[in-house]
Amino acid sequence: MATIATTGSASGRRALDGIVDFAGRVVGAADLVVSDVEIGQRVACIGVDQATIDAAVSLVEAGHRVKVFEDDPRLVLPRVGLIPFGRASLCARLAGSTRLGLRAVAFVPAPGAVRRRLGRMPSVMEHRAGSLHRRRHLDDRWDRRQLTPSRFDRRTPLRDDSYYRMVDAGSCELISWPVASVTTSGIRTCDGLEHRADWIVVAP
Amino acid sequence: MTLDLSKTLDRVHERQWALADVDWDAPGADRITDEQRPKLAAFMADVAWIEQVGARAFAALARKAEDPVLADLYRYFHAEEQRHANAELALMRRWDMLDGDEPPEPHISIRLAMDWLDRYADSLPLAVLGSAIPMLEVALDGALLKFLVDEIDDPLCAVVFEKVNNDESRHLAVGFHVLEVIGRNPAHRHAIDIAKVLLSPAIFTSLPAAMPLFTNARDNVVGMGLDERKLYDALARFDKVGQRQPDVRRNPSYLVLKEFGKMVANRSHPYHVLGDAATRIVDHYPRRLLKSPPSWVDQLTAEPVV
Repeated sequence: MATIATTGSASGRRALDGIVDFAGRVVGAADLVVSDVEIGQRVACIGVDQATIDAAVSLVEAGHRVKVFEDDPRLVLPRVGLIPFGRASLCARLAGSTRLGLRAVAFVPAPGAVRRRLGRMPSVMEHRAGSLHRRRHLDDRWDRRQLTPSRFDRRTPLRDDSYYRMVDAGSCELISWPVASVTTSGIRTCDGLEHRADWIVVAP
Repeated sequence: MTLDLSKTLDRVHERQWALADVDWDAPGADRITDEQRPKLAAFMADVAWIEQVGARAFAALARKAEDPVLADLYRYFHAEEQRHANAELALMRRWDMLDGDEPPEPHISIRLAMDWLDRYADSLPLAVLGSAIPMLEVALDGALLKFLVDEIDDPLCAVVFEKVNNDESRHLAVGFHVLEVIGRNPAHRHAIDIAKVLLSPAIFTSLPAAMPLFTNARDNVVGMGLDERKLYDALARFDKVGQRQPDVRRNPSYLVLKEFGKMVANRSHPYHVLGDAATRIVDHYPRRLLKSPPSWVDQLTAEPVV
Protein backbone atom coordinates (compact mmCIF):
# COMPACT_ATOMS: atom_id res chain seq x y z
CA MET A 1 0.00 0.00 0.00
CA ALA A 2 1.36 3.40 -0.90
CA THR A 3 1.38 5.94 1.87
CA ILE A 4 1.35 9.63 1.15
CA ALA A 5 2.97 11.38 4.08
CA THR A 6 2.65 15.06 4.60
CA THR A 7 3.71 17.56 7.17
CA GLY A 8 3.07 21.23 7.74
CA SER A 9 0.35 23.32 9.23
CA ALA A 10 -2.29 25.94 8.62
CA SER A 11 -0.36 27.62 5.82
CA GLY A 12 -0.32 24.48 3.71
CA ARG A 13 0.69 20.87 3.88
CA ARG A 14 3.65 19.58 1.93
CA ALA A 15 4.96 16.16 1.03
CA LEU A 16 7.64 14.73 3.30
CA ASP A 17 10.91 14.83 1.37
CA GLY A 18 12.74 11.54 1.21
CA ILE A 19 10.05 9.27 2.63
CA VAL A 20 10.28 6.93 -0.37
CA ASP A 21 13.95 6.25 0.47
CA PHE A 22 13.29 5.39 4.11
CA ALA A 23 14.81 1.97 4.83
CA GLY A 24 12.33 1.07 7.58
CA ARG A 25 8.59 0.60 7.28
CA VAL A 26 6.11 3.38 6.60
CA VAL A 27 2.50 2.79 7.52
CA GLY A 28 -0.65 4.85 7.81
CA ALA A 29 -1.82 5.22 11.41
CA ALA A 30 -5.15 3.54 10.68
CA ASP A 31 -3.40 0.52 9.10
CA LEU A 32 -0.85 -0.07 11.88
CA VAL A 33 -0.92 -3.50 13.50
CA VAL A 34 0.86 -3.03 16.82
CA SER A 35 1.92 -6.69 17.03
CA ASP A 36 3.94 -6.23 13.79
CA VAL A 37 6.33 -3.91 15.61
CA GLU A 38 9.09 -5.83 17.38
CA ILE A 39 10.11 -4.90 20.91
CA GLY A 40 13.04 -2.49 20.87
CA GLN A 41 12.19 -0.99 17.50
CA ARG A 42 11.88 2.78 17.35
CA VAL A 43 8.61 4.19 16.09
CA ALA A 44 8.08 7.74 14.87
CA CYS A 45 4.56 9.11 14.51
CA ILE A 46 4.38 12.12 12.22
CA GLY A 47 1.46 14.51 12.36
CA VAL A 48 -1.35 14.21 14.84
CA ASP A 49 -4.90 13.16 14.20
CA GLN A 50 -7.19 10.76 16.05
CA ALA A 51 -5.74 7.66 14.35
CA THR A 52 -2.12 8.69 15.08
CA ILE A 53 -2.85 9.44 18.72
CA ASP A 54 -4.63 6.10 19.10
CA ALA A 55 -1.70 4.34 17.41
CA ALA A 56 0.87 6.11 19.62
CA VAL A 57 -1.04 5.21 22.78
CA SER A 58 -1.40 1.55 21.71
CA LEU A 59 2.31 1.36 20.89
CA VAL A 60 3.36 2.79 24.24
CA GLU A 61 0.98 0.44 26.05
CA ALA A 62 2.64 -2.45 24.18
CA GLY A 63 6.03 -1.31 25.49
CA HIS A 64 7.47 0.37 22.39
CA ARG A 65 9.61 3.50 22.20
CA VAL A 66 7.59 6.17 20.45
CA LYS A 67 8.41 9.68 19.30
CA VAL A 68 5.54 11.89 18.22
CA PHE A 69 6.47 14.66 15.79
CA GLU A 70 3.90 17.36 16.36
CA ASP A 71 4.89 20.90 15.42
CA ASP A 72 1.36 22.24 15.03
CA PRO A 73 -0.54 20.88 18.04
CA ARG A 74 -4.21 20.03 17.99
CA LEU A 75 -6.71 20.38 20.73
CA VAL A 76 -7.04 17.14 22.70
CA LEU A 77 -10.06 16.73 24.98
CA PRO A 78 -10.78 14.00 27.52
CA ARG A 79 -13.10 11.23 26.45
CA VAL A 80 -16.37 11.90 28.19
CA GLY A 81 -18.41 8.96 29.46
CA LEU A 82 -22.01 9.00 30.55
CA ILE A 83 -21.10 10.99 33.66
CA PRO A 84 -18.29 13.51 33.20
CA PHE A 85 -15.54 13.32 35.85
CA GLY A 86 -13.32 16.33 36.47
CA ARG A 87 -13.48 19.92 35.32
CA ALA A 88 -12.03 19.22 31.87
CA SER A 89 -14.64 16.54 31.13
CA LEU A 90 -17.39 18.76 32.44
CA CYS A 91 -16.27 21.65 30.24
CA ALA A 92 -16.03 19.37 27.20
CA ARG A 93 -19.53 18.01 27.89
CA LEU A 94 -20.87 21.55 28.32
CA ALA A 95 -19.30 22.58 25.01
CA GLY A 96 -21.07 19.70 23.25
CA SER A 97 -24.39 20.47 24.93
CA THR A 98 -24.08 24.17 24.10
CA ARG A 99 -23.40 23.35 20.47
CA LEU A 100 -26.51 21.13 20.33
CA GLY A 101 -28.56 23.79 22.12
CA LEU A 102 -27.47 26.48 19.70
CA ARG A 103 -28.37 24.29 16.74
CA ALA A 104 -31.80 23.70 18.24
CA VAL A 105 -32.49 27.44 18.57
CA ALA A 106 -30.86 28.44 15.30
CA PHE A 107 -34.24 29.48 13.87
CA VAL A 108 -34.78 32.10 16.63
CA PRO A 109 -34.06 35.56 15.21
CA ALA A 110 -31.21 37.35 16.98
CA PRO A 111 -28.85 40.26 16.18
CA GLY A 112 -25.71 39.22 14.28
CA ALA A 113 -23.37 40.23 17.11
CA VAL A 114 -25.26 38.07 19.62
CA ARG A 115 -25.34 35.15 17.20
CA ARG A 116 -21.59 35.41 16.58
CA ARG A 117 -20.85 35.66 20.29
CA LEU A 118 -23.01 32.65 21.09
CA GLY A 119 -21.57 30.75 18.14
CA ARG A 120 -18.05 31.10 19.57
CA MET A 121 -19.07 29.75 22.99
CA PRO A 122 -18.66 26.00 22.28
CA SER A 123 -15.18 26.57 20.84
CA VAL A 124 -14.18 28.74 23.83
CA MET A 125 -15.43 26.03 26.20
CA GLU A 126 -13.54 23.35 24.28
CA HIS A 127 -10.32 25.34 24.48
CA ARG A 128 -10.91 25.76 28.22
CA ALA A 129 -11.50 22.01 28.53
CA GLY A 130 -8.28 21.35 26.61
CA SER A 131 -6.36 23.71 28.89
CA LEU A 132 -7.70 21.97 32.01
CA HIS A 133 -6.90 18.58 30.49
CA ARG A 134 -3.29 19.64 29.85
CA ARG A 135 -2.90 21.16 33.31
CA ARG A 136 -4.14 17.97 34.88
CA HIS A 137 -1.74 15.64 33.10
CA LEU A 138 1.31 17.67 32.06
CA ASP A 139 3.55 18.95 34.83
CA ASP A 140 6.14 20.56 32.59
CA ARG A 141 5.23 24.11 31.55
CA TRP A 142 7.12 23.95 28.26
CA ASP A 143 5.46 20.65 27.24
CA ARG A 144 2.13 22.17 28.12
CA ARG A 145 2.87 25.22 26.01
CA GLN A 146 4.11 23.16 23.08
CA LEU A 147 0.93 21.09 23.14
CA THR A 148 -1.35 24.12 23.31
CA PRO A 149 -2.98 24.73 19.93
CA SER A 150 -2.89 28.19 18.40
CA ARG A 151 -5.87 30.36 19.30
CA PHE A 152 -6.49 30.62 15.54
CA ASP A 153 -6.71 26.83 15.20
CA ARG A 154 -10.17 25.71 14.04
CA ARG A 155 -9.60 21.97 13.52
CA THR A 156 -11.89 19.42 15.15
CA PRO A 157 -10.67 18.48 18.64
CA LEU A 158 -9.26 14.99 19.24
CA ARG A 159 -10.26 12.79 22.19
CA ASP A 160 -7.84 10.91 24.39
CA ASP A 161 -7.17 10.33 28.08
CA SER A 162 -3.68 8.78 27.99
CA TYR A 163 -1.68 10.79 25.43
CA TYR A 164 -0.72 13.70 27.71
CA ARG A 165 0.00 11.32 30.59
CA MET A 166 2.39 9.34 28.40
CA VAL A 167 4.14 12.50 27.20
CA ASP A 168 4.50 13.64 30.80
CA ALA A 169 5.92 10.27 31.86
CA GLY A 170 8.40 10.36 28.95
CA SER A 171 7.20 7.04 27.51
CA CYS A 172 6.01 8.95 24.47
CA GLU A 173 8.58 11.58 23.48
CA LEU A 174 7.21 14.78 22.04
CA ILE A 175 9.28 16.34 19.24
CA SER A 176 7.77 19.73 18.57
CA TRP A 177 10.21 20.84 15.86
CA PRO A 178 9.02 20.93 12.25
CA VAL A 179 10.11 17.92 10.18
CA ALA A 180 12.70 18.88 7.55
CA SER A 181 13.00 15.57 5.70
CA VAL A 182 13.10 11.82 6.00
CA THR A 183 16.41 10.05 5.45
CA THR A 184 17.08 6.35 4.91
CA SER A 185 17.54 5.89 8.64
CA GLY A 186 15.19 8.34 10.27
CA ILE A 187 13.69 11.79 10.46
CA ARG A 188 15.50 15.09 10.32
CA THR A 189 13.95 17.96 12.22
CA CYS A 190 14.64 21.63 11.62
CA ASP A 191 16.68 21.95 14.83
CA GLY A 192 19.37 20.08 12.88
CA LEU A 193 19.03 16.69 14.55
CA GLU A 194 18.35 13.30 13.04
CA HIS A 195 16.01 10.95 14.92
CA ARG A 196 16.67 7.30 14.11
CA ALA A 197 13.54 5.24 13.48
CA ASP A 198 12.58 1.74 12.34
CA TRP A 199 8.95 2.56 11.69
CA ILE A 200 7.23 5.71 10.55
CA VAL A 201 3.54 6.02 11.29
CA VAL A 202 1.86 8.81 9.36
CA ALA A 203 -1.51 10.46 9.64
CA PRO A 204 -3.81 9.05 6.93
CA MET B 1 9.81 46.79 -0.34
CA THR B 2 7.33 43.99 0.26
CA LEU B 3 8.49 40.48 0.95
CA ASP B 4 6.59 37.51 -0.46
CA LEU B 5 6.27 35.42 2.71
CA SER B 6 5.09 32.29 0.85
CA LYS B 7 8.21 32.32 -1.35
CA THR B 8 10.38 32.88 1.73
CA LEU B 9 8.71 29.91 3.41
CA ASP B 10 9.42 27.79 0.31
CA ARG B 11 13.08 28.85 0.45
CA VAL B 12 13.20 27.98 4.14
CA HIS B 13 11.82 24.50 3.32
CA GLU B 14 14.37 24.03 0.54
CA ARG B 15 17.43 25.20 2.47
CA GLN B 16 17.23 23.09 5.58
CA TRP B 17 20.49 21.57 6.78
CA ALA B 18 21.34 19.27 9.63
CA LEU B 19 24.28 18.79 11.97
CA ALA B 20 24.84 15.43 10.29
CA ASP B 21 25.67 17.28 7.02
CA VAL B 22 28.84 18.67 8.62
CA ASP B 23 32.01 16.61 9.03
CA TRP B 24 32.83 17.51 12.64
CA ASP B 25 36.05 15.49 12.52
CA ALA B 26 37.46 17.33 9.49
CA PRO B 27 41.04 18.62 9.93
CA GLY B 28 41.60 22.11 11.31
CA ALA B 29 40.39 21.81 14.91
CA ASP B 30 43.98 22.21 16.15
CA ARG B 31 44.24 25.70 14.67
CA ILE B 32 42.71 27.19 17.78
CA THR B 33 45.61 28.63 19.74
CA ASP B 34 46.05 28.17 23.48
CA GLU B 35 45.81 31.93 23.83
CA GLN B 36 42.44 32.00 22.02
CA ARG B 37 40.92 28.99 23.76
CA PRO B 38 39.71 30.35 27.15
CA LYS B 39 38.25 33.59 25.75
CA LEU B 40 36.77 31.79 22.75
CA ALA B 41 35.16 29.20 25.04
CA ALA B 42 33.38 31.93 27.05
CA PHE B 43 32.39 33.77 23.88
CA MET B 44 31.05 30.66 22.11
CA ALA B 45 29.10 29.65 25.22
CA ASP B 46 27.47 33.09 25.25
CA VAL B 47 26.69 32.95 21.52
CA ALA B 48 25.14 29.45 21.79
CA TRP B 49 22.97 30.42 24.76
CA ILE B 50 21.95 33.72 23.17
CA GLU B 51 20.86 31.79 20.06
CA GLN B 52 18.73 29.60 22.30
CA VAL B 53 17.23 32.61 24.03
CA GLY B 54 16.46 33.98 20.54
CA ALA B 55 14.82 30.67 19.69
CA ARG B 56 12.48 31.10 22.65
CA ALA B 57 11.53 34.57 21.41
CA PHE B 58 10.69 33.15 17.96
CA ALA B 59 8.55 30.49 19.67
CA ALA B 60 6.54 33.29 21.27
CA LEU B 61 6.23 35.12 17.95
CA ALA B 62 4.88 31.97 16.26
CA ARG B 63 1.95 32.11 18.67
CA LYS B 64 1.33 35.81 18.09
CA ALA B 65 1.24 35.96 14.29
CA GLU B 66 -2.26 35.97 12.83
CA ASP B 67 -0.98 35.34 9.31
CA PRO B 68 -0.57 31.53 9.12
CA VAL B 69 2.41 31.82 6.73
CA LEU B 70 4.20 34.20 9.09
CA ALA B 71 3.37 31.90 12.03
CA ASP B 72 4.88 29.00 10.08
CA LEU B 73 7.99 31.05 9.29
CA TYR B 74 8.43 31.90 12.94
CA ARG B 75 8.01 28.24 13.87
CA TYR B 76 10.81 27.36 11.45
CA PHE B 77 12.98 30.22 12.72
CA HIS B 78 12.49 28.94 16.26
CA ALA B 79 13.89 25.58 15.15
CA GLU B 80 16.67 27.20 13.11
CA GLU B 81 17.90 29.25 16.05
CA GLN B 82 18.00 26.04 18.06
CA ARG B 83 19.98 24.45 15.22
CA HIS B 84 22.48 27.31 15.34
CA ALA B 85 22.86 26.85 19.09
CA ASN B 86 23.36 23.09 18.57
CA ALA B 87 25.92 23.70 15.80
CA GLU B 88 27.83 26.18 17.97
CA LEU B 89 27.90 23.64 20.78
CA ALA B 90 29.16 21.02 18.32
CA LEU B 91 31.96 23.43 17.34
CA MET B 92 32.83 23.82 21.02
CA ARG B 93 33.00 20.06 21.37
CA ARG B 94 35.25 19.89 18.30
CA TRP B 95 37.54 22.44 19.88
CA ASP B 96 37.58 20.49 23.12
CA MET B 97 35.89 23.24 25.10
CA LEU B 98 33.19 21.13 26.75
CA ASP B 99 33.31 19.26 29.99
CA GLY B 100 32.35 15.86 28.57
CA ASP B 101 29.38 16.40 26.26
CA GLU B 102 27.56 18.68 28.68
CA PRO B 103 26.68 22.20 27.53
CA PRO B 104 28.57 24.91 29.43
CA GLU B 105 26.88 26.64 32.33
CA PRO B 106 25.20 29.82 31.04
CA HIS B 107 26.45 33.12 32.47
CA ILE B 108 24.22 34.45 35.22
CA SER B 109 23.08 37.35 33.00
CA ILE B 110 21.89 34.84 30.40
CA ARG B 111 20.13 32.78 33.06
CA LEU B 112 18.25 35.88 34.20
CA ALA B 113 17.34 36.72 30.59
CA MET B 114 16.09 33.13 30.10
CA ASP B 115 13.87 33.39 33.16
CA TRP B 116 12.53 36.76 32.06
CA LEU B 117 11.80 35.55 28.54
CA ASP B 118 10.21 32.32 29.71
CA ARG B 119 7.95 34.28 32.02
CA TYR B 120 6.93 37.16 29.79
CA ALA B 121 7.62 36.36 26.12
CA ASP B 122 4.23 34.80 25.46
CA SER B 123 2.41 37.80 26.93
CA LEU B 124 4.27 40.52 25.02
CA PRO B 125 2.56 41.94 21.91
CA LEU B 126 3.93 40.95 18.50
CA ALA B 127 4.86 44.60 17.88
CA VAL B 128 7.37 44.55 20.75
CA LEU B 129 8.99 41.15 20.17
CA GLY B 130 8.80 41.55 16.38
CA SER B 131 10.74 44.82 16.70
CA ALA B 132 13.30 43.63 19.26
CA ILE B 133 14.31 40.50 17.34
CA PRO B 134 15.68 42.29 14.23
CA MET B 135 17.78 44.57 16.44
CA LEU B 136 19.37 41.61 18.18
CA GLU B 137 19.78 39.78 14.87
CA VAL B 138 21.70 42.64 13.25
CA ALA B 139 24.10 42.70 16.19
CA LEU B 140 24.54 38.93 16.17
CA ASP B 141 24.71 38.53 12.41
CA GLY B 142 26.42 41.80 11.51
CA ALA B 143 29.15 41.80 14.13
CA LEU B 144 29.58 38.73 16.30
CA LEU B 145 29.37 35.94 13.73
CA LYS B 146 31.37 37.85 11.08
CA PHE B 147 34.03 38.52 13.70
CA LEU B 148 34.24 34.82 14.57
CA VAL B 149 34.71 33.82 10.93
CA ASP B 150 37.47 36.43 10.53
CA GLU B 151 39.31 35.47 13.71
CA ILE B 152 39.14 31.66 13.72
CA ASP B 153 41.44 29.76 11.37
CA ASP B 154 39.55 26.48 11.52
CA PRO B 155 37.99 26.07 8.02
CA LEU B 156 35.00 24.23 9.49
CA CYS B 157 34.12 27.35 11.47
CA ALA B 158 33.61 29.24 8.19
CA VAL B 159 31.56 26.36 6.75
CA VAL B 160 29.22 26.27 9.76
CA PHE B 161 28.83 30.04 10.05
CA GLU B 162 28.14 30.39 6.33
CA LYS B 163 25.14 28.10 6.85
CA VAL B 164 24.15 30.02 9.98
CA ASN B 165 24.47 33.37 8.20
CA ASN B 166 22.31 32.20 5.30
CA ASP B 167 19.56 31.34 7.78
CA GLU B 168 20.04 34.59 9.67
CA SER B 169 19.72 36.65 6.49
CA ARG B 170 16.24 35.18 5.96
CA HIS B 171 15.37 35.87 9.60
CA LEU B 172 16.45 39.48 9.10
CA ALA B 173 14.51 39.89 5.85
CA VAL B 174 11.34 38.66 7.55
CA GLY B 175 12.12 40.74 10.66
CA PHE B 176 12.43 43.96 8.64
CA HIS B 177 9.28 43.07 6.70
CA VAL B 178 7.38 42.64 9.97
CA LEU B 179 8.70 46.00 11.23
CA GLU B 180 7.16 47.59 8.14
CA VAL B 181 3.86 45.71 8.50
CA ILE B 182 3.57 46.68 12.18
CA GLY B 183 4.26 50.29 11.21
CA ARG B 184 1.23 50.24 8.91
CA ASN B 185 -1.11 49.35 11.80
CA PRO B 186 -3.70 52.03 12.61
CA ALA B 187 -2.94 54.42 15.48
CA HIS B 188 -5.39 52.75 17.85
CA ARG B 189 -3.58 49.40 17.46
CA HIS B 190 -0.31 51.10 18.39
CA ALA B 191 -2.04 52.71 21.38
CA ILE B 192 -3.38 49.32 22.54
CA ASP B 193 0.07 47.73 22.19
CA ILE B 194 1.71 50.56 24.14
CA ALA B 195 -0.91 50.27 26.90
CA LYS B 196 -0.40 46.48 27.06
CA VAL B 197 3.34 46.92 27.47
CA LEU B 198 3.10 49.72 30.00
CA LEU B 199 0.63 47.76 32.11
CA SER B 200 2.71 44.59 31.97
CA PRO B 201 5.22 43.82 34.76
CA ALA B 202 7.54 42.75 31.91
CA ILE B 203 8.45 46.37 31.27
CA PHE B 204 9.79 46.98 34.80
CA THR B 205 11.92 43.87 34.76
CA SER B 206 13.09 44.14 31.15
CA LEU B 207 15.97 46.57 31.73
CA PRO B 208 17.46 44.71 34.74
CA ALA B 209 17.30 41.54 32.60
CA ALA B 210 18.63 43.11 29.39
CA MET B 211 21.39 45.41 30.68
CA PRO B 212 23.67 42.74 32.20
CA LEU B 213 23.07 40.52 29.14
CA PHE B 214 24.23 43.20 26.69
CA THR B 215 27.08 44.40 28.88
CA ASN B 216 28.38 40.87 29.46
CA ALA B 217 28.13 40.02 25.73
CA ARG B 218 29.94 43.26 24.87
CA ASP B 219 32.70 42.58 27.41
CA ASN B 220 33.20 39.08 26.05
CA VAL B 221 33.49 40.19 22.41
CA VAL B 222 35.76 43.05 23.33
CA GLY B 223 37.81 40.59 25.38
CA MET B 224 38.14 38.50 22.22
CA GLY B 225 39.53 41.51 20.36
CA LEU B 226 36.47 42.78 18.48
CA ASP B 227 36.49 46.50 17.93
CA GLU B 228 33.46 47.80 19.84
CA ARG B 229 32.71 50.17 16.98
CA LYS B 230 31.93 47.21 14.69
CA LEU B 231 29.25 46.11 17.12
CA TYR B 232 27.82 49.61 17.21
CA ASP B 233 28.02 49.93 13.41
CA ALA B 234 25.96 46.76 13.18
CA LEU B 235 23.39 48.26 15.53
CA ALA B 236 23.30 51.37 13.35
CA ARG B 237 21.94 49.18 10.54
CA PHE B 238 18.78 48.91 12.57
CA ASP B 239 18.54 52.70 12.57
CA LYS B 240 19.08 52.86 8.79
CA VAL B 241 16.09 50.58 8.10
CA GLY B 242 13.83 53.23 9.59
CA GLN B 243 15.47 55.94 7.52
CA ARG B 244 14.70 53.99 4.35
CA GLN B 245 11.16 52.91 5.24
CA PRO B 246 8.67 55.57 6.40
CA ASP B 247 6.23 52.85 7.57
CA VAL B 248 8.84 51.49 9.96
CA ARG B 249 9.14 54.91 11.60
CA ARG B 250 5.44 54.72 12.53
CA ASN B 251 6.14 51.69 14.76
CA PRO B 252 6.52 52.97 18.36
CA SER B 253 8.40 49.85 19.52
CA TYR B 254 10.93 50.37 16.74
CA LEU B 255 11.41 54.01 17.75
CA VAL B 256 11.97 53.08 21.41
CA LEU B 257 14.38 50.27 20.51
CA LYS B 258 16.23 52.48 18.04
CA GLU B 259 16.84 55.04 20.79
CA PHE B 260 17.91 52.23 23.12
CA GLY B 261 20.34 51.03 20.43
CA LYS B 262 21.80 54.55 20.14
CA MET B 263 22.21 54.66 23.90
CA VAL B 264 24.05 51.33 23.85
CA ALA B 265 26.23 52.49 20.96
CA ASN B 266 27.23 55.72 22.70
CA ARG B 267 30.02 54.68 25.09
CA SER B 268 29.86 57.99 26.99
CA HIS B 269 26.13 57.66 27.72
CA PRO B 270 25.24 57.27 31.44
CA TYR B 271 23.48 54.01 30.46
CA HIS B 272 26.86 52.30 30.48
CA VAL B 273 27.58 53.38 34.06
CA LEU B 274 24.28 51.80 35.05
CA GLY B 275 24.87 48.76 32.79
CA ASP B 276 28.34 48.11 34.22
CA ALA B 277 27.01 48.48 37.77
CA ALA B 278 24.10 46.11 37.04
CA THR B 279 26.53 43.55 35.62
CA ARG B 280 28.75 43.75 38.71
CA ILE B 281 25.72 43.25 40.97
CA VAL B 282 24.41 40.37 38.84
CA ASP B 283 27.83 38.70 38.97
CA HIS B 284 27.33 38.36 42.72
CA TYR B 285 23.73 37.22 42.45
CA PRO B 286 23.51 33.93 44.37
CA ARG B 287 22.71 31.11 41.95
CA ARG B 288 20.71 29.28 44.60
CA LEU B 289 18.12 32.06 44.37
CA LEU B 290 17.51 31.28 40.70
CA LYS B 291 14.55 29.04 40.00
CA SER B 292 15.28 25.86 38.08
CA PRO B 293 15.81 26.59 34.38
CA PRO B 294 12.88 26.02 32.01
CA SER B 295 12.95 22.63 30.30
CA TRP B 296 13.51 24.12 26.81
CA VAL B 297 17.07 24.79 27.97
CA ASP B 298 17.68 21.02 27.90
CA GLN B 299 17.12 20.96 24.14
CA LEU B 300 20.66 22.21 23.54
CA THR B 301 22.80 19.32 22.28
CA ALA B 302 25.92 18.78 20.19
CA GLU B 303 24.80 15.29 19.16
CA PRO B 304 23.79 15.19 15.43
CA VAL B 305 21.89 11.90 15.75
CA VAL B 306 19.55 11.01 18.61
